[in-house]
Amino acid sequence: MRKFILIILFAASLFAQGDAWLQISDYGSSLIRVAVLEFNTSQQSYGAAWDSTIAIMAQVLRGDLDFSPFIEVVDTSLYPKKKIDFPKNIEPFEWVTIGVQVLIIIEFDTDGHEVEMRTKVWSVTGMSGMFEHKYKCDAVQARRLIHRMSDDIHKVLTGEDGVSQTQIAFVSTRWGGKKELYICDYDGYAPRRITDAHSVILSPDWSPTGDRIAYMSYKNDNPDIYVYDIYKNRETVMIRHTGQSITPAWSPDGRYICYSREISGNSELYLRDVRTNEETRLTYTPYALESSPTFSPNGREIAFTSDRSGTPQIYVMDNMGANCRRLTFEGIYNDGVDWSSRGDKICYTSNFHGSFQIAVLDLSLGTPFYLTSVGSNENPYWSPDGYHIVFSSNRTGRYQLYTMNWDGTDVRRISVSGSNSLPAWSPRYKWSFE
Amino acid sequence: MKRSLWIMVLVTVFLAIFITGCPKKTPPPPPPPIEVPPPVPIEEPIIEIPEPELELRTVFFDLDKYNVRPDQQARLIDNAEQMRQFADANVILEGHCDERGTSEYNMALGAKRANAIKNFLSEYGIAAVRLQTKSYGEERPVCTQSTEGCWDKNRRVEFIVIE
Repeated sequence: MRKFILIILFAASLFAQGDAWLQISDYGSSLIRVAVLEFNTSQQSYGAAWDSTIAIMAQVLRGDLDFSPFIEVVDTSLYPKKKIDFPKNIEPFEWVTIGVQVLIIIEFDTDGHEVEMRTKVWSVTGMSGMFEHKYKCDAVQARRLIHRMSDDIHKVLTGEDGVSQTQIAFVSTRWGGKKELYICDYDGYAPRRITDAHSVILSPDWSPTGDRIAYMSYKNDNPDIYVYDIYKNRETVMIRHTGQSITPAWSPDGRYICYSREISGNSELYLRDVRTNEETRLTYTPYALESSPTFSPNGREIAFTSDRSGTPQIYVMDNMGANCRRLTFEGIYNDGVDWSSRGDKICYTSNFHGSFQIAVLDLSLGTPFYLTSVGSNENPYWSPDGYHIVFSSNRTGRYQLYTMNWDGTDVRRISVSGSNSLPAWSPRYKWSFE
Repeated sequence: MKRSLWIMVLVTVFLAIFITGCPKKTPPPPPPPIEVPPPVPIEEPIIEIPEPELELRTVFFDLDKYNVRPDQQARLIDNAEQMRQFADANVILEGHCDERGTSEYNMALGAKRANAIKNFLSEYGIAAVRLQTKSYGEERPVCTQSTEGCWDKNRRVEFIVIE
């Protein structure tokens, strides 16, 4: 009998090794379940236009909070069917039965020009207030104010800043078929065109303070690196050589741009000091191409693409070019690496089984796992909190932008028109409305 | 008597005739000058001698490769010969890739292809100053289908003649 059990156990263990797909779909008790009530308005109605705007703003707030992997917004259809008059008719039991732990209550008022919102975060289980703040802004900034509120609420609930106050820079062909640089909100709202190159723009990268974007532009008939200042609305040439200058990456202290420079057909990585314009060469491989660098969050290392082994693979070296070692050993083509701000993971584009997919490599474990499988998925870029990835995918035909959690769940499409690629996630902003 | 009278009459008549004369015939006015049209310039027939033109053919590459394929050498040598003949012609070598691969890496690969052609031509004796290189990566395809046939056409270096 014992032998039989041993044989069964042995056989079972052979089936225990899964493939390299890791999916965390249940965060269990670490999920904070919140309800965002319909806004309490001091007037019955502000007119049809405002009433629908108010409903939209509540939805934006729900979307912002639900975006976090640690917060779940309970669906409004489950809420108790009565007009909530906080705090008078809050029955904790009604909320506990649908699993809600925290209530978000917004008192809204507007005179048409200015908007005022008093935000209350209330713990159902503790029957106490956790946070209260009054926000005011011009009516046109209302959506941004919602994002600011959402990040403040996120901080109260999780101890970390949210990413609702972020932007995504990307390349799109929606204007006349040419690749130009665009910026939109993290949820895809309000894309706006930044460049006028009528040629080719590639590889945007945000400065660490979020005030500038570096990118490659063919505007002057040669791939040069330009910098766009978003506050001054001005584009300047940062790096121009006879050969190509491509794939810029800003260092975390904002002092350097690492980029790929081509001399006589050979591409090597160089560091450009942004203030002094001094250049330092980092790689010396006359028979290999280097490109697409990214800094580690402490600025001490640079991961990049090199084809020195015969095909493009991801390598890492220290920020002066020494101690180079290879990171990817799976897949015939690995490119476009981005280093998470948490320091422990890189994401990159990998041709693993015949098509490009998004791969994440935990640097301490060494084995990659693949987050996508349908269509061609490329150009991943981490959110500033390291919990999300934005990428481009042609799963519906043309390349569109999507965001997803770091484990591949909660995929959301954020672009609609044209062909969109090479997204870069901005650092967090803290918008003020005074 | 009578005869001298006759003679006087005759003389008078002659004188009268002589003085008054026959109505003088004014000589006809000279004919107006004939307007001679200016000589028509004889139009030289323009014979267009066609100038021999540079016809530099595009060179194609294998996937992920930048070396000159054996089957492309003949046309590359032909291009080099033409460039020798037309010593004034300068050329931009434009490197391109097919859509597979990432746009970023393909920028670098295109440059590598353009440079491989430049090296070949330099070794053939064409002065390097006449050869500029450029890469458009996968951004300027000649066709957009996702087929082998189309991909083959896009992995190329084009010769753009500049004065």
